[in-house]
Amino acid sequence: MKKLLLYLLFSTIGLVLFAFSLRTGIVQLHSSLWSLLTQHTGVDATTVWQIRLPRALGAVVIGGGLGIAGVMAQGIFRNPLAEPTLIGLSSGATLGTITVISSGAATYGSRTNAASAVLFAILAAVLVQLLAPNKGYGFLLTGIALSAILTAMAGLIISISSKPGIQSLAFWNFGSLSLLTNHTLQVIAPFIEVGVIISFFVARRLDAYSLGETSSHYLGINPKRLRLLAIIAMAFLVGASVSAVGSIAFLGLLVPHIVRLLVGPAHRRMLTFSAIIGATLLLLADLLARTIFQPHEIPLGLITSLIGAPLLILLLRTKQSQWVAND
Amino acid sequence: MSDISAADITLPIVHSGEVSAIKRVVALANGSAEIVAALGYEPLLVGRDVASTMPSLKTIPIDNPGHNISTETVLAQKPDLILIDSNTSPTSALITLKATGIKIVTIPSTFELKTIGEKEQAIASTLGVPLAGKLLVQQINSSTQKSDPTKVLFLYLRGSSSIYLIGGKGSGADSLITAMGFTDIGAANLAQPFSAMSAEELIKLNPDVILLMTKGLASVGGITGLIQLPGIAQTSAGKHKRVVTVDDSLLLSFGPRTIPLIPRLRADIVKASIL
Repeated sequence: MKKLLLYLLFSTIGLVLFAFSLRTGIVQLHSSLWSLLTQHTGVDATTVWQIRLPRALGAVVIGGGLGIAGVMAQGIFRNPLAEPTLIGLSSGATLGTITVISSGAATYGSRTNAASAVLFAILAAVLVQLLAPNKGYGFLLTGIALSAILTAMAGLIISISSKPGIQSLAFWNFGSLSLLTNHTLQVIAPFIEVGVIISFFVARRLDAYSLGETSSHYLGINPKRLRLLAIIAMAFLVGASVSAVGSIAFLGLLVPHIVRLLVGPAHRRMLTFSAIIGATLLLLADLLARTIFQPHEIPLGLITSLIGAPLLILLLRTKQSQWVAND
Repeated sequence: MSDISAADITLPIVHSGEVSAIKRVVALANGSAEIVAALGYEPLLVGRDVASTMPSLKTIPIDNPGHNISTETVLAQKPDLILIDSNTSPTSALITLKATGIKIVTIPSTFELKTIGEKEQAIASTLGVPLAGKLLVQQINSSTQKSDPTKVLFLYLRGSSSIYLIGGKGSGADSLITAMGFTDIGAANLAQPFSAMSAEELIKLNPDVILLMTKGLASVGGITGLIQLPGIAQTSAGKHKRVVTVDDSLLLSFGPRTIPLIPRLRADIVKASIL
């Protein structure tokens, strides 16, 4: 019952923010959203349906996807620090995006671009697995080191390339929904869908896996295969979003911590909630990013860090914070 | 879609018959080499600034690649006059050059139409050719255009560095757009010379024609890439692909070439506006 109420509460907050995102911006609407539902021409309708809608929908799809990716990362690596950015996925995706754009093989916002980001993300995460020593924090440290290398390579390509749409390193590192259009959203949404489906598919096995590698072995789980599936799921989620909006800090780390506190450690439930909370947080962050210093837009990563990091510290200090209590 | 390249605009050159006492000029002030040439003294130029990119000056070496003076290059050219402006850098190089005793003159820099004359006159008097200066400045006054209701918006784009800016009041382009008789819809609404471009601002301004630099348009992937930037396709200019481009170094050069550029660009914009 409590969970149902939480579910309703956060969905309502998300919906309110969604409507608010459609209503708020530089262009002052003269008609209500309700009356715009049937309109497709004119300044108000164009602004709402062609500019604000893709951004708001994008925040839902990408925020939800990153929240899910965060839960997957902590689940599969059984580590509260594991986050898509730390295990090479984001930097791999950035390098994948930049490589195809700079080589002229694809343009920003194309399907090839998103596919390349996903592929590079998988390769980067697998490479971390292969290179990491199988003890202690070796795995996370290897992830951090490899991410640094991949980010540097991406930066190098950006500095020497003048290809259209390659953007700046700041765009890829801080993230922004400002270039999102209906077209780009249609390109990345199926990729994120694939990631979501795989995540739910492996969720139950992640529950068993959380008991430890040996115990899960007796439950018939192949850890290597599970890990690969999880990596592929995360790569689809993170890769597709990075290819369109760059890396968004903190969502992947913060969302699982909030969700675990709210609904406990069962993975299916966590995935559903992380999607709702990730979407809500990103809607809020994007709304702030484009309205605080209007008409200037603030890089999204700055907002998610400024909201996300204090929230995380607060969460870690609460008594119920399971990860800290276990240590 | 139309484009004005540097080769499309011929530099107006005056001939006063005056003889300058100066023999070798290094022109480092923005666009000053172009003015020296327009005054009729191109043979005096031994070095030029990076912004004077017009085709006829191609054989004269650039002394400040990347906007930084190469002191040795300048000294090797043995100039008896160096023209600089407030943007000439680095200061350390200027101090070195001053120490050599070469005559260094600071020319006023200009970012709008109405101060071109002052800049031309300053260079003419430094060269000691006042009549040539007078002849060149005279061309400016004969270029007032009749007004036209078309709303033009200048965008400064560098897609390869995520730079997307809307030109407002003081962008430089505003003085050109106004002189052509159009409304600079950016300058009418934005007090800053440049503001970050946002989809909603574009929709609100809703220009009839978009004015860009040639390489600026290329940097976002041409007209196809431009239309994909959020907000562009929803403006009247974007819907009908009414985009006019001008060579990057020519558009805001604010020198002698600006005068013949105005009627030419005006014609392009009028043509675009009826698409």
